[in-house]
Amino acid sequence: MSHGGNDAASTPRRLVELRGVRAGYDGIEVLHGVDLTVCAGEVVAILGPNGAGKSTTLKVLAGLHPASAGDVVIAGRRVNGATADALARRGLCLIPEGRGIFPNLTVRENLWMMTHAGVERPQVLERSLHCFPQLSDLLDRTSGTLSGGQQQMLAMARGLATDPALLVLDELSMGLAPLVVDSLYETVRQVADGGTSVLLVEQFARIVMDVADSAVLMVQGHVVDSGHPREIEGKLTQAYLGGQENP
Amino acid sequence: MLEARGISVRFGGHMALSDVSIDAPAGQVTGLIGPNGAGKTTLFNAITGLLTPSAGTVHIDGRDVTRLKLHRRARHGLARTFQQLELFTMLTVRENIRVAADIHHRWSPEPGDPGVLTEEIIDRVGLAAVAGERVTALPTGQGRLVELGRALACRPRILLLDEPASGQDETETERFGRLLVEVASSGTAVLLVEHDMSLVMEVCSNVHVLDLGQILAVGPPAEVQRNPVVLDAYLGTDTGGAP
Amino acid sequence: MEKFLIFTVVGLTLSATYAVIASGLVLTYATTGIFNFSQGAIGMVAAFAYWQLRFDWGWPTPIALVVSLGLLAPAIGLAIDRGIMRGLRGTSEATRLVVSISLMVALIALANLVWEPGRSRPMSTFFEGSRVDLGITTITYHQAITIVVAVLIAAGLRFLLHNTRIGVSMRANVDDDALVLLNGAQPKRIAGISWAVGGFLAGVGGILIAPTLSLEAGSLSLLIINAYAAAIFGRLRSLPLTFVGAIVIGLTEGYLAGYLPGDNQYFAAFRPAATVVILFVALLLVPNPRLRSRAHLREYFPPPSRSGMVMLAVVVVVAGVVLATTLDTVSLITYGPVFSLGIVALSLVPLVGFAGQISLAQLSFAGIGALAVAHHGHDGSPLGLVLAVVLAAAVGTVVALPVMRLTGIYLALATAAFAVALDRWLFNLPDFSVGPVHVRLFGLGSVSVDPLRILGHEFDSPAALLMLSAVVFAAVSLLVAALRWSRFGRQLVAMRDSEAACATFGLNLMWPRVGVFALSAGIAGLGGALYAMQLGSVAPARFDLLNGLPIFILVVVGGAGLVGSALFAGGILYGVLPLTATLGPVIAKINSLFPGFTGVGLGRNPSGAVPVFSAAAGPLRNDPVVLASMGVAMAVCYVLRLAEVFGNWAFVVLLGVALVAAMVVARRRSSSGAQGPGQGAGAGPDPEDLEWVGVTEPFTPAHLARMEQVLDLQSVDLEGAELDPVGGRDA
Repeated sequence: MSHGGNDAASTPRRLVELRGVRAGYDGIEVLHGVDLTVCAGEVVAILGPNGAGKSTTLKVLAGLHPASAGDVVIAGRRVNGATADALARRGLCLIPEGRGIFPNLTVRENLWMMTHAGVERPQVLERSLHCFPQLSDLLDRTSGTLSGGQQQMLAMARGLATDPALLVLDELSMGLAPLVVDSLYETVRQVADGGTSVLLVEQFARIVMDVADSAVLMVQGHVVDSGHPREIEGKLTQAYLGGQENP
Repeated sequence: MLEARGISVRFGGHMALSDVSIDAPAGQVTGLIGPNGAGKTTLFNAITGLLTPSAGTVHIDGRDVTRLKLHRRARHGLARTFQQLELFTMLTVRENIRVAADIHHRWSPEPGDPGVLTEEIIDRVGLAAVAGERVTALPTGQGRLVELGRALACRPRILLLDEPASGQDETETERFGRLLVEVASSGTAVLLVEHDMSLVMEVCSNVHVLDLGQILAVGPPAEVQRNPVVLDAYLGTDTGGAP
Repeated sequence: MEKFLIFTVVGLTLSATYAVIASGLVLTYATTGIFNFSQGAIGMVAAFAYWQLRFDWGWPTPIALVVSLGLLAPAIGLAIDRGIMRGLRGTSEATRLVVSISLMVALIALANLVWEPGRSRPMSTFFEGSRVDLGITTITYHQAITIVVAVLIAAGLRFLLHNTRIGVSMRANVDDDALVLLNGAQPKRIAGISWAVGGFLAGVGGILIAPTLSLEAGSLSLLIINAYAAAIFGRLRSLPLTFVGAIVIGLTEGYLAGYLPGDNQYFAAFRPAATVVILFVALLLVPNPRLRSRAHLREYFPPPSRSGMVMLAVVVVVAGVVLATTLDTVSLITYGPVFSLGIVALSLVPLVGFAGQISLAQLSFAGIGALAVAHHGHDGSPLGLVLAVVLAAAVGTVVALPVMRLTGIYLALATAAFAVALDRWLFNLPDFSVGPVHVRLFGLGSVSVDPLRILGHEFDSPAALLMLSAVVFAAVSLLVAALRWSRFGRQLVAMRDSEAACATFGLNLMWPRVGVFALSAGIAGLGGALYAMQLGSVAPARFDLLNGLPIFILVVVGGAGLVGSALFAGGILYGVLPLTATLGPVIAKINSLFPGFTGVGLGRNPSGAVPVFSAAAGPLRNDPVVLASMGVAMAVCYVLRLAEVFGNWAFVVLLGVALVAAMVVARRRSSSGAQGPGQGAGAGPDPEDLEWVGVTEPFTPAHLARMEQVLDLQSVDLEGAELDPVGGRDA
């Protein structure tokens, strides 16, 4: 995978392609052939109700969970079976659901861990603090004692500091106040504008309307629709709350 | 009936639940919905005694059980299922239910043969065809039925169900809904956490909406479904820009 | 004052050594989640290696140190990680614990093989004889070096864990190993390095303490108990608190050495046990752990079948009769423990196999049973056997009540501490009185035991006692199987999977936990009593912790939830191993490595070895014709043996031939019945044949599934546990 993604000439148009991906737990399939494409520089949102298989799709992509069938293709290479750490060092950055930080390490040490992806320590520090100046006063705090929003900023810092080719976000907003969520997604947009492709799963569909370039709707392990986020939005109420389409 | 009042739970610096009150009257199915991470399972854990809340009280049929341990609360008629299945993997479906029936038989003053009760429940939840199978051989949907069967084997007055329909297909869910209504109509208070809205709409008399550890709205399902606040909780507040 | 200072220095020196060993223990546990029972044994091997290089071969000290500490000790740590621990993902805590205990047993056996025990191996301290004058007191160079090394290691570890990226990664791995992967770090490398550092620290501790003790494999390895005690202060996680714990324990030992009246037998015996008592108390202060839930284990033990249990009981009784009538007195004594200690092995089945709890003290309970029968079974009174069960169960209850809220490692450690307290202290006390109760123990030596007499019949010969043990073994096997079929047994198996669920049904978890522990202790007491009768006179050393570990290991290797595993353990430890050992000293030496090394291999097949055997015997069991013919053939051999036509070796060989032939014929018949004729004509083992799995190809869960099919058991789903490396589930 080419690093940075700024160099449009050498970056393949289709950065990520999932073709007929199936996966499951304990022998029970939860993804029944998922097809998904993320083009270079694009922000794609996966929307859908709980249990649709959104997080599993991300885990399969990031090498945290094996696909039982289908192809996971990144930058033209089939990467089924690649380990999560190898993908991370090659520019895939997944910020997992919950808080993607090490709670018993200090903020500074958390930032240090990000250098495993191949970026030097001063750069990580500089980029993170540039984007999240609030963190500079908290460097020596144990990160588990930070507020939810601060913790999520720290987690997001990895997406910025390591300059990934593909940023994958799983439920960035979970348990956070709306204002914090807004500012986090502003950062996501900035990252995307810098040339990084983004694939995100978000339960709160409306938040990502202005962030995502396109969206797919997943229900029960299938991609049932895709298109512009606004087009998908109309179908969401049905998928989430059931009942009539436009209340 | 179950009354939980002012329950607060704190995890480190994070308030998982703040001042949550919820009632589940006997003879009804009460719904508890809310987005992921809202604190639904945490509330269940606080009510059943799996974790100690920092504030709040729990009453069962008017009796304060706040200070009682897990198993003591259960003996006041509280039973539950788990979102992440807690099946006994070494045992068959029948044995899973039998364990619960045996334990109930030991502390309960009600007469009855746990073996007979087990067979009754197997028929009632529709597991007769797989009763002899080891539970790990079942798909999740049927695993949920085993958990329901185990809870019913304790003859609960209050039944807490944590996403019982996830992993079930449409037909299974429909049958499950009918079963729930039947259980409730026999006088049990059912508190249902569920993401399958059609099920919630169908069986619940009253729905509580939990978001970010707080109760956002309470009301009949149709009303809650139309409530814009609830929609915001599910889809996110639309502060980003004009639609 | 002078005396006080001297013993303060002694205590601090001990503290320093314990701290070094314990910090290695904490490091590997915290970063990899594996509690390394063999930490002390690694230090022991390093100390022996250092002795070999420095004193036996006369190498210069620095080179000897570099080789033993810089190369060997970290290499052992690394090898353990690469070769053994990596295969343990997805196994239960019990399995991991057994593997690391087996490793300790294996390293002790290996050291005893290389460095024959009993020889004196003098080892001088560093700068022997030189002292430093501190003004208020003087300390030896060795003491000074020990303390300085501990301080340097504390500083070094602090630097490693906070000021290097690999150290920070180790701490990160404790928090969230999946996230470590997502950061692009390599957890395997992190684990490897922490095992290497752990090995190095064990080596440092071993080499520092060995000169002040004797160079003896068992006792050096058990020094680890002291290190555990220190680590418990930091709840196996915090290094600073571990150092505090080490200081408390070292100073306690130092002052006890200085001030405990040496001429008083009660106190003198207490000194070596003091640490264990501290450990026990410290464990009681560990806060309540969370309830076990969603264990998701790879292990699966089917309930025993009725026909299988009947067959097991018949085979055991027949074997008892055959052994009793064919063996001479010496052999009867050698192979006697097959069934008596087999009952001790049986006591582990409900506890470890059904309930999923761990006790390393079963042989200690057997010792209590032995004492009961020695003091109350005069002239063979059956009351002695009854009391053996009752007393052992009572002591089991007393131990269980405070420790039962502990699980996993903590419970294992608490029972190990109890076992060591018994064999170092209580068993070595003279008789004493507590109020009106007069307690009689081993009387500082050994006690004699009268054989059982029932209705005038005295079991006074080794042959009679062997038969008695076989019958009792068969009866207890049936009892244990009945337990598994009972309400209580189902409940235990259920609790093993999810205590949380059981509690929500209204079950008070305390009573089943204590109940199964007491029951298991009672069974062990019965086994111990029969063992004592066979010996005629018993001393406490027969019942110490290290002797009990192989029984524990082999039961788990056999498949802890299967009644057959006890026969497997008893048969191998006290039958097959001594029998093959008579073939030659080389085999005897290899045999001594067997328990440890088989335990180490457990990670490959956590459901145990017994299913493999019973699968192999499956066709035979279902073929009455072949079974009957085999029985007749064996009976003929037996009659010929009784008529002294041939000796025992020929008898054993003939029985073996009969069994193998019957198994082969039964397999042919069943496969030709299923697939029609045309099976390969005696072309050696068919690679697809279940019977040869493990020999012709590695054993996999798929084989287990097929075996269960053959055995008509329900299918097992082992796939999931391994397919899901993260353990996460899309909610």
